[in-house]
Amino acid sequence: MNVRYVSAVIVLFCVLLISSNSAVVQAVDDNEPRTLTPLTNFGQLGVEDLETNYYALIVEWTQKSSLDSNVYVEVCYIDPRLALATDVLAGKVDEDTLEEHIQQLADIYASHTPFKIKLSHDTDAKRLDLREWEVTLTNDKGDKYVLTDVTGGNPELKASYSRGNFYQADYDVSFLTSGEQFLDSNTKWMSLSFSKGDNHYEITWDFQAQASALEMNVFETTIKILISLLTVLLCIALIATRPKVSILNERFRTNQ
Amino acid sequence: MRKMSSVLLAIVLVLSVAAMGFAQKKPLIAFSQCTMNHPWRIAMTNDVVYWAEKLGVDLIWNDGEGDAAVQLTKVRDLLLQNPDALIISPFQATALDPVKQLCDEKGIPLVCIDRSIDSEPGTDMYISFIGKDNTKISKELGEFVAEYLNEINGEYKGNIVEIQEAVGSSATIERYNGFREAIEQHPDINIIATQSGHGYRVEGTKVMENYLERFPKGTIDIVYTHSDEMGLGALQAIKAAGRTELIGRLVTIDGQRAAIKTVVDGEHLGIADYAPYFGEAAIKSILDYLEGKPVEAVQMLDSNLYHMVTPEGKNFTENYYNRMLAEDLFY
Repeated sequence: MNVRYVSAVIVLFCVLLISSNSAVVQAVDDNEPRTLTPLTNFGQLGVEDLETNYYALIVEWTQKSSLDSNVYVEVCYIDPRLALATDVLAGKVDEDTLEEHIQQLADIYASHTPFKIKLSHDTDAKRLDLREWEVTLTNDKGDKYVLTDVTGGNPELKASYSRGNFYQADYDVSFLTSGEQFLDSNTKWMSLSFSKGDNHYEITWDFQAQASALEMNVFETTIKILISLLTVLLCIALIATRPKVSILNERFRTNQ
Repeated sequence: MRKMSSVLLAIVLVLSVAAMGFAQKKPLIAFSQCTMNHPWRIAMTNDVVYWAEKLGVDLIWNDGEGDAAVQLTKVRDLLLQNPDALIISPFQATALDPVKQLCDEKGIPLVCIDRSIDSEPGTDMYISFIGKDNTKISKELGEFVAEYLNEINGEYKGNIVEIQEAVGSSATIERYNGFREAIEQHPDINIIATQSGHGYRVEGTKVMENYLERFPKGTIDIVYTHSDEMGLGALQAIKAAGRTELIGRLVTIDGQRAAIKTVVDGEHLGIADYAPYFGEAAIKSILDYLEGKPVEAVQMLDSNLYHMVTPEGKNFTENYYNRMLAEDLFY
């Protein structure tokens, strides 16, 4: 009787421990946050892995949306790491010029915030004029800048897997941010809005959401660890307070 | 005199307009695709359509519906429209060889892409074959497999099962032979089974299910399929059967995005790239030929190997996968 009792408690303990721990592992795997953190400290900017990370940076910083009636917009924030990777791939930077180049980038970002904007339409190349739109950059601190510096925009025929053939105009744009760096380490979000007449579209890079996801993940993990610990303590308490064999035998004899 | 001048002026105007119309006439290129029942083929057709528009030619095309006889009939339909050139990706080398004779009779330049016909490229109106070197690609994949087996087993030893492409196509024959050229260098590496999956995912699953029944755990080291589609089908069968020892032991040829993702995720050992992008080379070759410029009889396009076995391979593969995401590429 007593042996069965202890065995049952130990089995229960193991099952609960394994299930709660696997739940923790599962939670970590499923909710692994993608860190979308703009580089704001140019002292951290190096060339390690930049060549191989070039497309990963583009994927990370690109957002897509549709503008009115079948015009699509793809916006990529040119994070300083992406700017450097582009220059490295183009052969504009080598080890000798790296330090000087990073300083130049720091100077540029102190007063400019660059993006690449692609407008596309399946058939009509004439509807891809970015200058018809008022493009505004804002952030959570209330800074607001209207786009004036636009280059490029020659429509070209492109092809992609999901869209087949379409026309696309690529623009290199830069917001002149009044002599100060637009993004800093405390920026929670930045947003780019496109306005034309009654049409208004907005694209947001939410840095806070990433931090919240991370915090939520830490919270869930902590709760699960606490539940595991409580289960262990409960099991230990049950084992410690079990009736002793001698007492059980005595009761058994008395009953007989 | 004034009447004479007016008539002359009218003649000059009519001739000018006619000449302008003649000068602006775009070349008409016909394209015969052997089947559209496969993402690789759809991507190839999209690429030909894209480059036709990009390079300013008119294009007519049709689908051979995965049948050599149907494709031959449809080629005749295309030739009835008197195109300036014909591009064909033949379903089978021998069965589609009469296309050359049809082109010779009509004086229409012929370019084969991906797969050739039996006739020699560079003879009569068969001006060029544009492909990738299947033999070389599959040989390199075989060498990669041999080195991998040596790394994990400490010796060049292991068992391979193979799922072939469509029976009789030049690609199947070359992918079969090229892989063996590499494997036969190592007597203890054996191809223990080979069967056709006809190029389709569902067939790849069926053939793999059969292999998994025949060969118990521990008797297969590598699964080689001639295409990604069949490889993805085989991977489904491996997962469904719970044969986890074969996860990450699959090698294929093609390089479609879904398959490259499985390489990045560690479910797929390696892919030899055979992307279906022949449109640019084919149409530019035809335009060169029509302008009287020389065209190479055999043109082999470059290829890559995607894997995560070495740090260089990992970087290269991850970067390419991200490029596929960034540029929305299927291959």
